[in-house]
Amino acid sequence: MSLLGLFDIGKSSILSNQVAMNAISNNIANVNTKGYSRQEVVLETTAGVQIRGDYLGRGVRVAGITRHYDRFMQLQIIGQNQSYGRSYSLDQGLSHVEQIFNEAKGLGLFDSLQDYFNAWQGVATDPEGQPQRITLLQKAKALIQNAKQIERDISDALKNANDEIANVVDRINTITSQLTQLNGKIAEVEAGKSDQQASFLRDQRDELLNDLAEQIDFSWYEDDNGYITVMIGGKSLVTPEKASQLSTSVDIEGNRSVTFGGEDLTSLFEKGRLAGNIAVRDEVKTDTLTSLRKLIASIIKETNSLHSSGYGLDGSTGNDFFGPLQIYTLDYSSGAYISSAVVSDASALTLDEYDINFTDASTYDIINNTTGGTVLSGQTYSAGSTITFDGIDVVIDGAPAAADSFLVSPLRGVIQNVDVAITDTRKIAAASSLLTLPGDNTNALQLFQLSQSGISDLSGATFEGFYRGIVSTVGVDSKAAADSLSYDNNLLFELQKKREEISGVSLDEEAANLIRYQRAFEAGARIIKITDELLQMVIDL
Amino acid sequence: MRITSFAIFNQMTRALQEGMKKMSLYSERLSSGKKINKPSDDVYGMMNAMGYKVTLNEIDQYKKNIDNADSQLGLTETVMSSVGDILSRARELAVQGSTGTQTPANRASIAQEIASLRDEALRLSQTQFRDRYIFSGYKTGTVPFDASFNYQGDANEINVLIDRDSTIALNIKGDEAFSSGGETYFETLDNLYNALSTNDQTSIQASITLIDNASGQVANVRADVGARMNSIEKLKSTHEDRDIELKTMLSNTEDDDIAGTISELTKIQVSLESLRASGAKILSQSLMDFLD
Repeated sequence: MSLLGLFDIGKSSILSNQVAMNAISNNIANVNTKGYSRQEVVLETTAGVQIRGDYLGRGVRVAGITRHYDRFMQLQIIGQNQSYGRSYSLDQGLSHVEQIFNEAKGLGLFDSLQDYFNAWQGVATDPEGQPQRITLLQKAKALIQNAKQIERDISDALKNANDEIANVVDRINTITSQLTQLNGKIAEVEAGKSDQQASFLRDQRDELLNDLAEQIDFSWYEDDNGYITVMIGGKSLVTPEKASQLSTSVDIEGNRSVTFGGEDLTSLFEKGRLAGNIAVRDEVKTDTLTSLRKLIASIIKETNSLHSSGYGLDGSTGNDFFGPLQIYTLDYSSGAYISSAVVSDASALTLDEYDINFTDASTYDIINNTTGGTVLSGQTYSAGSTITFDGIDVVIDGAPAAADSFLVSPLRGVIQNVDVAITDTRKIAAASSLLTLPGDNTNALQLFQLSQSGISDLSGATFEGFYRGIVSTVGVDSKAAADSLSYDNNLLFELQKKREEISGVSLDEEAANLIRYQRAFEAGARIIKITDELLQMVIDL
Repeated sequence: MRITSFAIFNQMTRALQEGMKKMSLYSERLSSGKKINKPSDDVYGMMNAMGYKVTLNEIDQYKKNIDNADSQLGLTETVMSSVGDILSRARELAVQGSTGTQTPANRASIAQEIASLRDEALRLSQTQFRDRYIFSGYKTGTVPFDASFNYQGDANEINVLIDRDSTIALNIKGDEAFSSGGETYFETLDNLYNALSTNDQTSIQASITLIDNASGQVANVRADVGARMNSIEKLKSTHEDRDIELKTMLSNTEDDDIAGTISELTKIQVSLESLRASGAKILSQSLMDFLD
């Protein structure tokens, strides 16, 4: 072994420790970079020379750069991000709806509902009193206004949820196309190098996967070349070659659904913001909005039924107090349409929604949507003839086809269309008979007592009890959403903390390492200096 | 376990966030004075509170109805008491007129007073409460007795709710309040007036019994009215007790324990302060500071 070999050892020390200090500097620089994985230079001894049968190393070299990273942890974080995304959107949506019904702040329908029936009580106490009658009309209008406002607020919340679904899909499409680009870059950088990973690209890709996980639930895997494939519902969204786009479409009711290659996948999603927003929309629509409409419809139905049997101060009878219930319909058919739908017998009306389903071009069934029961089955269709069931007359015209469907609902348009039909206070029917005017208050008394009676359309609940049920459901749902958000958030935090333990940068640690490698670098330089001195000494001999 | 700068920073900001969240929760409670500020704060409590409010509202309505009934029945009682006075004065005069020593001229002058008592009684039967005749049944716009003393009202009672499923009649029918044995008091007094005017001693004598019957009927009616007023008075105090009880329950359900909240708020403040102080120290420390 020659004296000159010492130069090489000193040089290898300087160069290797310099690389290590580079890595440390990069770590320090990225201390605040989201998703950054700490890198560490691994040093190893250069193959040695044999001296008297033993080996002595010939300096140091960089064996590789390790990316501190736990793949299993990343899998867990992606899973947790999916749960978190759903909880986040649920909490956002439902806490908004909760505020619409926040009775603690006097919002909601409770007060105006009470005021309305109190006003009937006022009329009962003084059936001829003009002020009481004016108050009644005002309170009835206030109740309707309030219901309309609440319905508008709920519709806004539904619209928000639908808009959010579109936004989330946009976001997903952006992420997946970025993922495809990164896929290509990573494969390119890593091609043929088994030990050298494209660390910073992988960090970026992991961040994108985290972001994607917050939006949607998916499964994914990485192949040997470093490409990842992202699947939703058994279909590939991101393949090594390309990213496919999700798209959305809006149906006639304004509901946005998510499609992939023309197929509707809306019901498939269970996690992520996408599923959260879909859940908010469906829950609020089928639960809250339908219940509210049912409540108002039953108030109209019961009030009108009693009111039209009574007599006004002017001796008139048979007057509806509120505008009569109307039937709302939707045609899910290209060849046929509902040409008319009216309430034929208000007393037989159930306040449930119905579907008229065609099994073929000439046969249809009528299903009660609310109970799921079959009202009529195997009926023969004849264009333009009246179909009568549960107090409703429907006329379908045109040429229906198999699988065509028609929605018939006394609820959908009820709040939007209703108004107080009575304008002349003398027509308020406080009396039960023409002969007992004007002091008879019995009908007004019965109308007030409606507020205390169980209503069969509301499964035997009182109006107020039924409304409390709505608020209770809204409150329970919102509470559950807030609880799971806090749970998912905590869990995500714990996982991120664990990830930090492995991949995070500690400035103290880096500082210590910096000193370590600085010293080694200095020592390496000194070896060269001493070797130089030794050589000088030899030359000077 | 490796602890990184970012982990410490994260932990610290999260703890601060949690503290601030609690601060905002407690200060919302303090500003509203309520511990339930939205349904999800306590769904069960909120449902109870709404239930209490429904009952409180009902009780409030019943109390108003009772007050209203009390006024009308009180007025009826006053009217009947005056009718009673009229009848006793009429009896006195009838007894006086029936005495054999009276001259026809005296009887004629007594007759004049009877006539004015009769008219006074008729006026009383036309008493109105809030512009409505109280002795006409449902026909509150019709004078109860016409000039020939025929009852124009009907036999209906105006009922108002004074409790769930419990009503009270506001009115006494005119033919019940102002007639006995099928004859109105006005007729009795009118007959007495005629007897006095025509100096018909037998008829004067006979009218004393009829006046006594009428007084008896007035006493019955007053007893009826008194009993009604009594019962609603009792019910009112029951309602008031329930009112207080429910308001206490409502307050227990939705009102905040202010002292408790303030002490919680203070605790949070202290913990936030110490968190900030320690955070400032820990976060600013680094080995980097000691490199030179």
